[in-house]
Amino acid sequence: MIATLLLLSALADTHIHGIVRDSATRAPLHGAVVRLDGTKKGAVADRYGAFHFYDLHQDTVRLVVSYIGYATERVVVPLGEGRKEVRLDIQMRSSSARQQEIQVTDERIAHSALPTQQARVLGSVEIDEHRGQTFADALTQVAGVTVLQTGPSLKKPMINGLTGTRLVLRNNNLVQEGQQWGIEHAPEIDAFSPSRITVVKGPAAVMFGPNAMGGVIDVESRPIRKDPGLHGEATVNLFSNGRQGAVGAFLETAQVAGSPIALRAQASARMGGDAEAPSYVLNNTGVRELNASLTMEVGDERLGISSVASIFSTTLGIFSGAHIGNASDMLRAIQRGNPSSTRPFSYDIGNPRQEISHAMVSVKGHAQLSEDERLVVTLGHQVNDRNEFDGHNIRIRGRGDDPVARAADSIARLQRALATPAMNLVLRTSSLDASLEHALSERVRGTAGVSSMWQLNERSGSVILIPDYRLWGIGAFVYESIMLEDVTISAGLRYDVRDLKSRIINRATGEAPLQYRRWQNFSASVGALWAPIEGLSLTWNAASSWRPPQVNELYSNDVHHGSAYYEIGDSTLASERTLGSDVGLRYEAHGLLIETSAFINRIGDYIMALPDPANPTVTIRGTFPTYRFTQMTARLFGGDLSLTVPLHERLNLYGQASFVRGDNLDLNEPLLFIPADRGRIGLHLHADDVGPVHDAYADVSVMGVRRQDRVVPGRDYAEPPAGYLRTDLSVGGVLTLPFGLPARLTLACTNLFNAAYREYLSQYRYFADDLGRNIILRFTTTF
Amino acid sequence: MTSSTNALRRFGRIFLTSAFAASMSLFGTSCDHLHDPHDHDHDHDAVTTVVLTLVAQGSNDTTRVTWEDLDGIGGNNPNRIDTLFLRPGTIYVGSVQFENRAESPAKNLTEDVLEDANEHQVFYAVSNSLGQVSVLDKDGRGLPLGLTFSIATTTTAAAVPGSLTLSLYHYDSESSKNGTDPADETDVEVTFPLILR
Repeated sequence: MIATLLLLSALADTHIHGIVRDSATRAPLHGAVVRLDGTKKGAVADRYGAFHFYDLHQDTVRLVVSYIGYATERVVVPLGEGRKEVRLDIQMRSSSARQQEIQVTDERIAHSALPTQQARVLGSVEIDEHRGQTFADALTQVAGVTVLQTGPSLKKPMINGLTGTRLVLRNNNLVQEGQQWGIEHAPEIDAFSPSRITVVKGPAAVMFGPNAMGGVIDVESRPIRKDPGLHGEATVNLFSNGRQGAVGAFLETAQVAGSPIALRAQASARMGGDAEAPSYVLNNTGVRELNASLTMEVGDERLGISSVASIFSTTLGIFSGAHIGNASDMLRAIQRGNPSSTRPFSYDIGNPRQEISHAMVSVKGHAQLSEDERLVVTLGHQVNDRNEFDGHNIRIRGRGDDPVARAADSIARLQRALATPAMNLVLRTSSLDASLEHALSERVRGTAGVSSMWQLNERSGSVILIPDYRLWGIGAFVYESIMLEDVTISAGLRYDVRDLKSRIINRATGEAPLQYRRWQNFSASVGALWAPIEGLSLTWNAASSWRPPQVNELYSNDVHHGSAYYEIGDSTLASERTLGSDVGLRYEAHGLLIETSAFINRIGDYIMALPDPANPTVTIRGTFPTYRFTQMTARLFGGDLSLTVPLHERLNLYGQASFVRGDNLDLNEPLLFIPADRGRIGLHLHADDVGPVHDAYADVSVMGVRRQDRVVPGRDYAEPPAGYLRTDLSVGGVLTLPFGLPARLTLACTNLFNAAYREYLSQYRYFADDLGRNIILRFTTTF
Repeated sequence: MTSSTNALRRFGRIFLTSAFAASMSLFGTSCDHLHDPHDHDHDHDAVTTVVLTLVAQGSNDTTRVTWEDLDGIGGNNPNRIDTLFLRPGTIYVGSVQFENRAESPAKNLTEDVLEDANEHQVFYAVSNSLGQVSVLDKDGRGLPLGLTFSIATTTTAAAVPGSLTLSLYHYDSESSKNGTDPADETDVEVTFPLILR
């Protein structure tokens, strides 16, 4: 229990306020209940962990702070003697307190961000209350994070305008290695895995290698509860749109049959049918998902091993209205404005579809070598198996002279064709990382380490967007932080080598020669944090990093379905080099919270596909615009602002806004797929008890997105869609079930007014409106 | 100077770990092999060749033009695109043939279209008003099919060259074909240069 009295001043009314945070991550605990012992008064921490009590008359106030999954805390606050305002910083420990304790000290040398960087940690309740139909949905509550989407079940996170292979997604201590090069490839992560998520908005290449130039999303498995007995959690999510249901559950114990082995078994399943736009059904957008994981922890904070094995598997339908043959089909679909034919709602998933599985094992061992040094070794293996089934040209005639035999043969051939993916990619990745966390002195702490990976991709099928390849990489890094009185300075350096061998099929000659490329370079970063007064902190960071060209950028050679252009790689591309800087400000006092940041990023040799209008690709299926990967100097800059203003004891006004500008400086034109300016404003009302519901809240917000007017006229098939407003509503609270089980219930409605809108970052905007109203019921119980 | 020996030992350890990691990845490189590509997908019949045969009414003169891309989508550009030379003020009766000549023997895919006539339609478009096309055949439901057609060229021999574009549309089902609207999915779309002389 760490409760600190921070500010005492003589004001007219007695006012106790403060924030409730996780002691390990310092993340605000939205929904934590603060009760005045011996009275009926209570308050609920808002989304920033803040709570308030006004007009208190006692001499001494006893506060009881409780929260699911955390040990209940008691704070005694002496009042009287002119103490009219008390500010508290209450840090709660997860029920597995011993495990968390180590992380409190560790947190100074942050796991996924330098201490000077702005990182946002999403705790289990925040994830729980915002969990949507994909993993990425829970991330969009962070200002500056948007999603690039191909339909409701296929979403890729984007940070400050960068996505795909310019971000690193870590899952259970491993860099997730799937096929991340296309828009239609979503991260293969279970939205239900018990975790906390850290979002780092800024370059983290020094820690995680060249691909982390745009930022990091780190999904860390929650430690297993250390108190005796069997614990668990069960979650049910129901979505009206797509008539989707999802369930997740886990069971965990700190001692398996009296042994020192802690174990957690987790599983989740999801099934959804066609999603619905306000006025029509989006056919073939169903989803099936089945996931499971097993987590094992042995040892203590000095010496121990934690390992996770998980499997993710999904089948995703690709919207039939977005399935087109050539560029003229695309233009006709855009002119028509909505899908040509819609069938009634169905759970069936036909072609085109994707079937993906991702299996991974990660074993992380740690050893406290001395007071000042800790060795962490992580071994990982992942297999990503992606099958894409095409809907084109399923017109197959059987062979043979006898009509009956011919009919049978054509059925057999058709079934074989439907079951054969147009593209199958199996990506195997092994990795080994070792790092030594150390304290060079009382004030200087840091980490030095090496990181290596080896990867093999095997491709089959008729589509050639990505070749067979073998990639290995190795890197060495060191970063240190110096903690002075009110200033922290950090600096890091890294060197990486990447070696690629690919087998490139030449369609014209039918040959498949091997090609070799190797790249190596430095990444560096430096930053400072200054906290001049209580509640205020200012940060500044500068970094330079690089990213080698990816296999698709080098060797792609096929039609991109759904976007109807022919994409051609360039095998001579050089590495990208970024030079970026960001500044941030955070101020928090009396329930008011202001967080703002700004960044600028100049990327030399930025790789992007640009149209080659002089050489369209002429095929028997029609003419396709040709896009060639090329390099240019790009500049991105932008900023975001998050704000919470306490209007009343029980009412908060909150808002956030972000903008990004991206330009190709060589041609002096805007970059493609930069998120439009957006903002959200909302009211959050909380009450103690409403009938049998504790900690009830109601939240209403309006999201506004401007039209993306920074585009090259005529470059895209369709002009960017108009701006839109979307209203979301949610109410929730905690109910006590029989046997004293707490159940967190949320009833939410997104797109309350069923507004028809299209999002610039959605690949479906050419063909159909975005999702209509979606009523969501979430239920979680912990035991 | 125990602290410096400690520091040395510390970095010795990290060096050993690095060496281990490095040897692991080098081990990886020594046992990699990239398998030979296998993408022979014989069940899918791709059209490589479109042949138009036009017979002039009256004279019975026959014109035959071919559009061909033997290596399929991607690879080399089409290996053959003939120019269609027609006489002005003449009516031609035409037929179209779709083939897969990448296989030996070549396969006639026109029969496939005919077999599923209710889900296909061939559309023709002539640019620069050089002529007018009418479809002559019908599918099982009485809607136009387009494997045979007639083209009436304009009487004024325009000096401007134009083109004849042929599109074969594949409908999801019978019900989405109405005889006038194209499908969402184009199977074949080729353009022949057209000159009247």
